[in-house]
Amino acid sequence: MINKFFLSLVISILPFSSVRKYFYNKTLSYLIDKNTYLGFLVILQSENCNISNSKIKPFNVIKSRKIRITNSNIDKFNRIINLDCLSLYGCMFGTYNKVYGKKLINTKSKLSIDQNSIVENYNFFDLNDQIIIKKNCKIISHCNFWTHGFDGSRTIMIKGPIEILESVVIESCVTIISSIVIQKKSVVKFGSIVHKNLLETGVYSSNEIFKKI
Amino acid sequence: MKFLKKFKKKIIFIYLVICSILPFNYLRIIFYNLAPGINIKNSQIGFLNIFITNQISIHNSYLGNFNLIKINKLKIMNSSLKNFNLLNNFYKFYINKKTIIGSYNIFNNTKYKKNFFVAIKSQISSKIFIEMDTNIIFRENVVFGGRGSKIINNRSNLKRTFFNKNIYVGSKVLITSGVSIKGCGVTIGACSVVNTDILKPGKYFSKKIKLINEK
Repeated sequence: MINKFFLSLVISILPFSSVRKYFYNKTLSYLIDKNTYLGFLVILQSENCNISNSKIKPFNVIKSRKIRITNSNIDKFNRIINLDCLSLYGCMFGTYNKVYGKKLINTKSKLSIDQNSIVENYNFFDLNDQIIIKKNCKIISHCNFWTHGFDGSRTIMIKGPIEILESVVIESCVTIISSIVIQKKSVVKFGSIVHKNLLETGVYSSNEIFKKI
Repeated sequence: MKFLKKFKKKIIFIYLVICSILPFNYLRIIFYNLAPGINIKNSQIGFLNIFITNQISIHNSYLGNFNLIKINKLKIMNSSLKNFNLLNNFYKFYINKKTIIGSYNIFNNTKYKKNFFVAIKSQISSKIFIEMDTNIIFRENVVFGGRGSKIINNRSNLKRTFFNKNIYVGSKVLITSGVSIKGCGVTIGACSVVNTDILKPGKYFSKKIKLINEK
């Protein structure tokens, strides 16, 4: 894997998108089609990579066992590291997002984002378990998705998937913990902390500012 | 001549970058002042401050090292701006009368329109993140204490973000843009979330700690 990383680093600093794609396809046997644009310093490290009709802007690191990217746009300065499977279908991925899995990659660490979904800037995804974002969702900025936690004595690690169903809007600075399902067409307001399933459609907020007497 | 006109901005930018790596403060100031639209007096300008601006006026002020400043009009009077700050996409950025801006702050606009930032006798400590598409005004004695507070862009509210006199904001406070804190003498507790206007003075917080279960 170390050699592969250096090889992909060298390829990523080559000039022109077509040259980078050619060398990725030839040397690392990736499947990157003609309509894809790969920016400068896009480091792809994978065992099974398939990218079609997408645009990956400069300065991104993607390290995953499986990569499936179709009809998607990935903006600058994202770090997507140590995943089992990354699948993006027709979505937008903003800038400065971090997606971190465990160093010992487990088979559950999957991130899948469906059609017309938008993930904006400065979001953090912890991938000890899978995160599924379905169609037409919008995640604004500075959100945290945690798929693991601990009990009080810090002996047992609590893991669970996060599933966001269709047409959900998650506003800025929202924190979502593990084992959460958010129902269709819900809105989670600014700065909320989601610690239980939101099974009814609605607008949710966990914050209310009040005056200390 | 056509070549010079076409690449005027780029040539000025390269000239300013070269100025920023010159040794000694007085040398940097002499060469900065030779560029058009720049007026620096009685100030200390640190190493590697990269300016992408049309007008700069800095008087009796301190500018630290390694700042990236992309602003149309920058005006710093009797104030200080420390190290590793990013000021991005502002039309006007004025800091006046003993304002202190610490290190590692990010002031970011997504749109480069007529957005302005004004601070008077205020203090912003370190690692504060301000991102909005609206105007922002800090009046006297607005203090962003601690670390990690954020003003986050709210596209559904395009009013100006306003902080009246004598406001103290604790650590890790989240504020949506477009909020106006009109009360004088407001204190906002740590980790609060401010998404509505605050009209009266007092102490405000939004998070209570509660016992979930007894052992």
